Amino acid sequence: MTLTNNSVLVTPGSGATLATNSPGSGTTEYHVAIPATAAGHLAESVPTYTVQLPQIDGAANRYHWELFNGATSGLTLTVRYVAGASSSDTITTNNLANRFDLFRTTALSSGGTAFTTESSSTASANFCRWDTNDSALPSTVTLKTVVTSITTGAWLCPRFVTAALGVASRWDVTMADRLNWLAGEATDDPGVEWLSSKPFVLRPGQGLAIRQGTVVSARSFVWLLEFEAV
Amino acid sequence: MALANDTIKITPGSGATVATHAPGSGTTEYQVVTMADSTGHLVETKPTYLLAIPQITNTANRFHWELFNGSSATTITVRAVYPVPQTDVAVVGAVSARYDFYRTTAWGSGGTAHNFESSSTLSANFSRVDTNDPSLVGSGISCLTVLTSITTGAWLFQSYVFPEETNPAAVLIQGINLIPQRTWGKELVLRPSQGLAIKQGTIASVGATGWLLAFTTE
Repeated sequence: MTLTNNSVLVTPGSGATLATNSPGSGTTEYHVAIPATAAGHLAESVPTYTVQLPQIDGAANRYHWELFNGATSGLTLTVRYVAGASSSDTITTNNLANRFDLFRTTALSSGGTAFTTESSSTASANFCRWDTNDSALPSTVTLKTVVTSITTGAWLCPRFVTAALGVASRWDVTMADRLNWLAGEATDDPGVEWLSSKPFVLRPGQGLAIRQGTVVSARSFVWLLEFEAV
Repeated sequence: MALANDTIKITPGSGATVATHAPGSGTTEYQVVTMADSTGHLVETKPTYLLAIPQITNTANRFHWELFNGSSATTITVRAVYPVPQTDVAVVGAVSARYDFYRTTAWGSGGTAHNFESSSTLSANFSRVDTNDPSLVGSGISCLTVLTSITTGAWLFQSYVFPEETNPAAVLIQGINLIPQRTWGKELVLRPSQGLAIKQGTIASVGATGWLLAFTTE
C-alpha cells in the first residue's frame, strides 16, 4: 500500500512542480490529483489477496469454510468479494439450488483442512497476492475448509448457488459464478469509483464462514474470495 | 443539494500542509485527495448495515416486510435491495411474483419482529459490516415481516421476481440491486418516521423470497 509521501508549500514564483493537464486548446490547466481512501492510502495501492478454494462436496449443514483474522494478526481485513460456483464440469440434472448462509464468526473454528499459500496445488484453499511486491500474510490469517463447527456471531445473509448442469436452460450455472455475494452497495453501480457505505470488515479475532443449508445436490462447490489487509 | 461551504486561503511561505505524492522519478507532485459525499463523510466510512430477511412465502397482496426508521434524528440511506428466491425447494409455476415498493409514513401493524446480530436464520436480522460502528439496538430502526397492514406513502417502484428453481432468473436475480443505480444522484433516503415496505401483487405465484438490504446511517 502507499501513503502520501510528500507535501508542498505554495510559494509564488517557485516551489515544487504540480501535475496538471491542459486538454483541447491548452489554454487552461486542470489540476491532476490522485484519489485516496479515508485512511490515506492511494487508489489501488492497498495489498490485496485472493483465496481460491478447491471443490468441496455438498453436504447438509456443512461448514464449507471459514476465513479467520487471528486476534494477533495486527491487520484489518476488508472482504470485498465472495463468489460461489458449482463444479459444472460434471453432469447432474438436479435443478435445485443449494443454500449457503454467511456468518460473522467470533473465534477460530474447530477442525477443518488447512490452507496453502502461493502454492501450485489445486487441492487445498490457496492464498495468493495479486502483487508479489506486497507482504505475505501472517500465519494468523487463515482459511480452513470443511470445519467441524464455528462460533457464530451475526447471520449476514443467505445465498443460493445453482447446482444443475445437463439441463439445457441452466445457463446460469456459469453466469452466476462471478456474482459477488457480499457486494452490498456496489454490485451493479455503473461508473461509481467510490462509495459512501463500508465494505465488510473483519477485525482481529473475527472471521467469515459459510454453512450449507439442508438441501444437498450431488455436486461440489468452489469459492473465490478477495480481501485487502492493512 | 450541497455546495462547497468553505475555502482555504493560501499564505505564501506558510500555511497548512497539502498532501501530495511523487511517483516514479519524483519530479512532479500530484495532489492526493480523499473523496467525500455531500454530507462530508469520507469514502467508505459511513456506518453500514446489512438486513437479511428470511424466505417469506409468496401470497397475493401480502405485505412481506417493512424497514422502518423510528429514530428521532437518524437518516437511513438504502443502498441495495437484493431478492433471494428460495431455489432449493422445487415449486411448480410459470409466473413471477410482483412486488410493489412503498415509502411508508408510520409503523406497520402486526408482523414478526427482527433480531440484532443474531446467528438465527429464521427472523429478519440486522448486522453491522464493521463491528466498530454503533449497534442499532435501541436506535428505533426496525424490520417487521409479514405485516397486517402498512401506512403507505408514495409508491416508489415495482419489480417482478421469478421464483421457480429451474429457471436461471431465480438465481441470477440475487445479484441485481433493485434500487436504480447510477453514477450521480441520491440514493433512497428514509427520514425519521419513514419506512420502506413491499406488498406483493394480486398474483399469488409460488415459492418464497428472501431479501438482503444494505443501508447506511448518519
